[in-house]
Amino acid sequence: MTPSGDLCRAWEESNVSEKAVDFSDTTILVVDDNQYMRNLIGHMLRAFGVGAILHAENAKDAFSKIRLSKIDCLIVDWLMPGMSGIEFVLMVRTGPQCPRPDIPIIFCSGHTEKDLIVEARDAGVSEVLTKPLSPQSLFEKLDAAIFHPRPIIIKPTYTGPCRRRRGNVKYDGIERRCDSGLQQHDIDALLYS
Amino acid sequence: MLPLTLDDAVARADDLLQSVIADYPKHLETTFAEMEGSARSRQWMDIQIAAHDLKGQAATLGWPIIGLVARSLEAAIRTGDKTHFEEAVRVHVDCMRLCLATNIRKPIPAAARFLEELAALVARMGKSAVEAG
Repeated sequence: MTPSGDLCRAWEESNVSEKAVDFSDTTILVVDDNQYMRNLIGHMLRAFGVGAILHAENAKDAFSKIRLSKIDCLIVDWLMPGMSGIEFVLMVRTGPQCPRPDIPIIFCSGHTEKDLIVEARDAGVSEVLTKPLSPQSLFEKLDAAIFHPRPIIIKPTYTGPCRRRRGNVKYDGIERRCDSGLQQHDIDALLYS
Repeated sequence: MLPLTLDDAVARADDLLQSVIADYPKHLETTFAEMEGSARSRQWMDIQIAAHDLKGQAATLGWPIIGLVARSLEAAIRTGDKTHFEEAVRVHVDCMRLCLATNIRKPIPAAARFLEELAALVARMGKSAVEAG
């Protein structure tokens, strides 16, 4: 699944949809131990017309759903009891028991410190969605993850989306830090660098 | 209905979220009571996770100041000294209840003072944890 030069170029030239998108044929699994947050995200996904919305409250439950259903995208919380979101992402990408190492993963976190974002990127997340959530940010991340996925790289040292910079990400050359962590556009830039 | 543009999707989501937003204060009361229960049984990790969840949720649902207080509580439990945890939970939960009861949703100046005092409390707890080794 290593991308060829043509594939990488085609992906770099692609952009997040500016026209209408149709999620009615997609199945999305929300992995979050917090029921209220699962419901909240579920409400947003229903509003977007997502075909099927599945929920899992822990990694074990999520794995069984990945094995049984054709999931188009995972939305994963960072902090969960037992296995953390990052450990879960690593298991999906590299675990021998996981049937879908290429599945798009949106990582949802209230923590935006650079170290955590780098850790999430290196674990193989496709997109990072920062809290507080908004319908707009969720819609944009879903569109990017499902309809404009980056090619998946499978190497001994890394399995996950190609980390070459995407054409539509505005990158200023310096990853800025601030007291409260990185801003969403800094995180997006970091994911592709 | 489909396909949807971003604007259509956001408008539909805002409509659907109205009921969730309206019910949120009830959920907050339940969460505060659960935090107090966890403090009585000294389940500090449960409180840290609840505070972390609240931090993201409250800001998403129109109560950013409760999100900020929850963030302070999460930091207090993560970095502080256990001897102060009970006090930290009480002070933070009282502060969040006050915000809810008075419908203070954003960090207005009066509320900012509470946040400063909470930050000072958390800093004292951190110092105390360092001194305790």
